[in-house]
Amino acid sequence: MKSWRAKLGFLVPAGTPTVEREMMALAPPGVSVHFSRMVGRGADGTLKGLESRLISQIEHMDESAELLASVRPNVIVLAHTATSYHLGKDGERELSERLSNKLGIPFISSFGSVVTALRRLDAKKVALATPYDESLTLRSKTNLESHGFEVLNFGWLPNVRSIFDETDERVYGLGRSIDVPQAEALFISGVGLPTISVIGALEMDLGKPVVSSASATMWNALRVAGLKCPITGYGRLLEIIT
Amino acid sequence: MNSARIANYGTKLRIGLLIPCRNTICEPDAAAILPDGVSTHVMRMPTLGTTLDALMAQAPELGRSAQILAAARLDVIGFHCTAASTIAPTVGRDLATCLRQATGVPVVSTSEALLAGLAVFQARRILLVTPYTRAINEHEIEFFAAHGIEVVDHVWLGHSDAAGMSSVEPQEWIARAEALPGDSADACVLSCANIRVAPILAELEQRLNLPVIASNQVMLWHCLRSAGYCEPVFGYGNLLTQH
Repeated sequence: MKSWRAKLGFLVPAGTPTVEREMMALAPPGVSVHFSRMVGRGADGTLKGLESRLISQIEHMDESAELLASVRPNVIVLAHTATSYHLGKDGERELSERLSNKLGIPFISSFGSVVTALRRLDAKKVALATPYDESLTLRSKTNLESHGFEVLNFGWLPNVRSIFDETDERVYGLGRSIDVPQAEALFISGVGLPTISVIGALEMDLGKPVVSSASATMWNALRVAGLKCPITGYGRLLEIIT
Repeated sequence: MNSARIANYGTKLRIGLLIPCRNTICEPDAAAILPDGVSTHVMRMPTLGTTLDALMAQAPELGRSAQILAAARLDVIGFHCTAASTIAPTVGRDLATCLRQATGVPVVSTSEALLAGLAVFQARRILLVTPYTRAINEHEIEFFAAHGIEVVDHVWLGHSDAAGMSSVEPQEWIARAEALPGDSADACVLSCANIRVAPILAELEQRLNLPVIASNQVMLWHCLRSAGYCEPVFGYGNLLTQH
């Protein structure tokens, strides 16, 4: 297959099996998706050791990004929401600008994509669902608030052993339990959490936009690459072509 | 709203691929070829050495890359670069051994996959079609000779950069392969993980009336079969449908 429309690059944490699967499933015709893993120490998918892994990933970000940049993608996405939470609003902006300039390729993040997506959906009041523990969930909430969103309700999945192994049923149930009527959209955080098989149904049943880190990632990557290709079945965000 | 595709959640197998950083064809080929329930996970390798010594000197660095990839809890890892793994008769196997020791995960190399694929057809005399330079072809011919396989005719397109290799149109590979006198050959090898041949493999087999082996096809086949996945995969040649 030839990528006659665009090549999209995704930097993923070492342990995640989710991003390749979901981005390959979402990629429209003529769009190829390319991956590389971020150098970083510590087990993935578990919260134990997360902090040191995040620091290690950020330290090695340039070398990780340069390997992926060698496919000359139209955009590179840092596909790890937790890294964005660790960097914070200013830290992430600095990293994105620096790497965009250094590589000559737009460098964006999954969380930055969520921010752009929620704004595009005119959602200011949101509900936040995560596969994290309380502390990382609160960090996610703080990050959303720093970008001007009001988090009306938030919560996390109990008893997560590895977010990569979570089921449709639990993710759907999480979304249902966290949403509140006043929220204008539901955001499900975590690129490693499998979501694309449930967000279409969740959005239908909740009657409001549902954005996951994964759906926002693909939507924004296509947008930044200059493509206008609606993808149906995964919520209204991916049907919006600007 | 029913057009949603199901993500390939790798419920049966997870295949890891270590690929050269500039390769742009392997991931689309894997997405196209791998059946439901088999997912693929990627780590890019730095530019690989073009001599045996330079390549082996990279073994520790490649081991670290393989360890990062192995964090995805894989069933098998493919060390996937045709030119590098055929630079000497046993380098593919030797590097696979190093990477297996570094990760604890079974590792196969492209050169091992090529030999395994050819062995299925008991091929001893092959046509070799590549995007490479003549020098790289000569290495590969020596590699096959060391394993008792004679390259009866070959063609190279003279590309030394990844973008040049991937730019060759699929139909041109058919023309190049058909132009070789293949009367005495018992298989045709389209060598290189960065060429767009997956769409023409089945057609070329029909036209040549020979089994056709290509780098991405044979690597994915070898990963599937060595990890115990034995179902046929259709559309990419006899190797994946019959063996």
